[in-house]
Amino acid sequence: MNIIAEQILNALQMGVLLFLISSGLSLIFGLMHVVNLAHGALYMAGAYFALTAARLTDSFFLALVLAPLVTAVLGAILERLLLRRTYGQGMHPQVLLTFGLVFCFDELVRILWSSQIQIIELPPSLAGTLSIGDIQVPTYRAFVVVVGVFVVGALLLLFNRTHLGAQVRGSVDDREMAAALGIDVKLLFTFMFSLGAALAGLGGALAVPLFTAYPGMGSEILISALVVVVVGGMGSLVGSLLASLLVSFAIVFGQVVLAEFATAMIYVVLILFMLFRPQGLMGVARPT
Amino acid sequence: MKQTLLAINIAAAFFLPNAASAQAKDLKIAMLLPTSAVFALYGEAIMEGFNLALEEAGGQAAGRKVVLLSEDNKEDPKTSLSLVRKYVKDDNVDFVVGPIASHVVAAIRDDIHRSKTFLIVPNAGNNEVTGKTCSPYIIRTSFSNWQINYPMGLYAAETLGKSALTVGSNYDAGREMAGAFAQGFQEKGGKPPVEEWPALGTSDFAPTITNVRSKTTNLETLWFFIPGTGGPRFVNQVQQSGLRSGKTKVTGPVFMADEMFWGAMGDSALGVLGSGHYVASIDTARNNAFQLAFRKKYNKVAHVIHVQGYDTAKLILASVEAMKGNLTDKVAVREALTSVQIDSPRGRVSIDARTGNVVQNVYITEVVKKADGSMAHKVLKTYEQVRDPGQGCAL
Repeated sequence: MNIIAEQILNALQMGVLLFLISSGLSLIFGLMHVVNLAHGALYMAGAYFALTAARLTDSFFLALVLAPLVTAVLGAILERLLLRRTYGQGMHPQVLLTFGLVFCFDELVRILWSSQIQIIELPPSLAGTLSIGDIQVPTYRAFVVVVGVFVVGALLLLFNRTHLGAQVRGSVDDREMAAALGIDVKLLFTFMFSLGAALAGLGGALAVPLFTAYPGMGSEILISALVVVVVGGMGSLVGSLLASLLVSFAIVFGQVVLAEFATAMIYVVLILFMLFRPQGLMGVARPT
Repeated sequence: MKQTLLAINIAAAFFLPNAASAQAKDLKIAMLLPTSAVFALYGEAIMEGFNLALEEAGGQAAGRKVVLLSEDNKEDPKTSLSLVRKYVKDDNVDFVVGPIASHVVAAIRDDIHRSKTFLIVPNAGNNEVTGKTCSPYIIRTSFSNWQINYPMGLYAAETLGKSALTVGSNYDAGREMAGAFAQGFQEKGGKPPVEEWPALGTSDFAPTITNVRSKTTNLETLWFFIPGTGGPRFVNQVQQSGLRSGKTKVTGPVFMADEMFWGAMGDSALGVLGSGHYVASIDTARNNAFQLAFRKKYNKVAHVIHVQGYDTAKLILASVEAMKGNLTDKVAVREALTSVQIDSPRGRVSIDARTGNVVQNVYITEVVKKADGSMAHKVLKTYEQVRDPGQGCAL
């Protein structure tokens, strides 16, 4: 029984981390309908910024704060200079642009930080294990869950209870009308993109002690994040959270039952949803 | 006008040196290595070691200047096959060096064999390369999966305890390595190891670690092989999970915890045991001189992949010298390749005359921290001149 409980905990923390990583994409893809394949690259940027910040300040916690901020600035620059030109032109220019960014970022990282796999050593406060009943949980993973829950709460609050959130939702629903009402839609979208970038950066920074930092790490998680956004339903943060948990449970219990195919489980979930519920868990069924 | 031109040409022919006849033909070596994506690190390392040896030999052998042809093979089977065909048909190379991964060897093997072109494999470890699909034209200077893991099985059963659990990535190399460990382990009286096979590409090993915890309470040896970035990830996650707090020893082939990955593991790497054919800490005059020369040229510590590249060049150069530059008799070239002595930083090294695989020492090492805070390997035991049996090789 303990083992089942431990595996459930594994799935929960994996789900929360996956949600953290995907939340930025969910925001940008789901709410702004911008295809941001560079999300993986922003995740990687956050990881490497955290690496450098940890080295310079000798504090992991400070790195966790700085990395998302720097990534947000990077996101804002990308949106302003590059992405803005592709709005209203359909998907292809966005896909090409953001995909191209992925290649650029990979090479930049190789040049600036080398191709070596690198890591941030955890501070002693996060390096041990906690005992929950009979189960040993790595302290760091519990920390990630706490951060994730906090981020979910903050995002939901932002979008559902604040004036800013209302403006964002309004601009997404009807851009012209929102502009006519005096909302600065352009600035809002830049803000949204930066927020998405910050979330990607935070995910990257948190992932380094678990998964290490290396060029190409962005492409790996991009697929998982895209699956989560699609399965969760475009435009729904709660949907992304539920989808992350669903996918993680599938992966973890796939590992237990069918270890050889565990990494395929995420695609099995995706295929099932595409066949039977294409709008995702919480998405609205759109008439074609 | 035409006559003046003719006169000038005839005069030039007499007075200008005729380059073609004055020197021997260039020694063309095709480097079939990746410079992009996952395996770029390995491709780069092979080139660095190779170039150091070339430099030491003055860029020539038996009076023939070495010319390298290299293009990114992306470690992709299709790209590698078309490159090999080009090198063989259009460029008439004398040797092909590469690739990194065993699945690429499988793709090019038949073309190499049919065209009677010598392929020197500086990395790919699958047993079949010098086993089931061996060829008189394929030589391997690196290692075989069996060769470096079998001794660890022997060592673990003799020294650590009779119970073990193996975690191997679920693909051919993982299965071969775990199989070799299990074979050695049981030969010395160990119980058949419990097996875990996480899928290739797994990034979160929490479920695997939970499985490990559930299957054994008194684990003496945890053996693992997960290629690439997965290795350091696994070690870090195992460290974070508290699994190593007992007397469990984490072991694996030496690249799981070697110089290339120390930056990715920090203190998690301490105490990890490895089995392999080279570590930078081997304390011999030859290796110390090599490390010095390498550091002078590249300003970093040489690791096992560098040595594989270095020895490959040394082997080719020594064989060409032995043949006095004449490589037309393929049977004689093969004999030269399998009989020359290479002064390798890893110790005594030779090529098995039948299978074409390298015969070498295998060292059991432990990762320790030196007085100055840097990481090093301590050699616990040396298995001398381990020879892969070349199972399935029809030569």
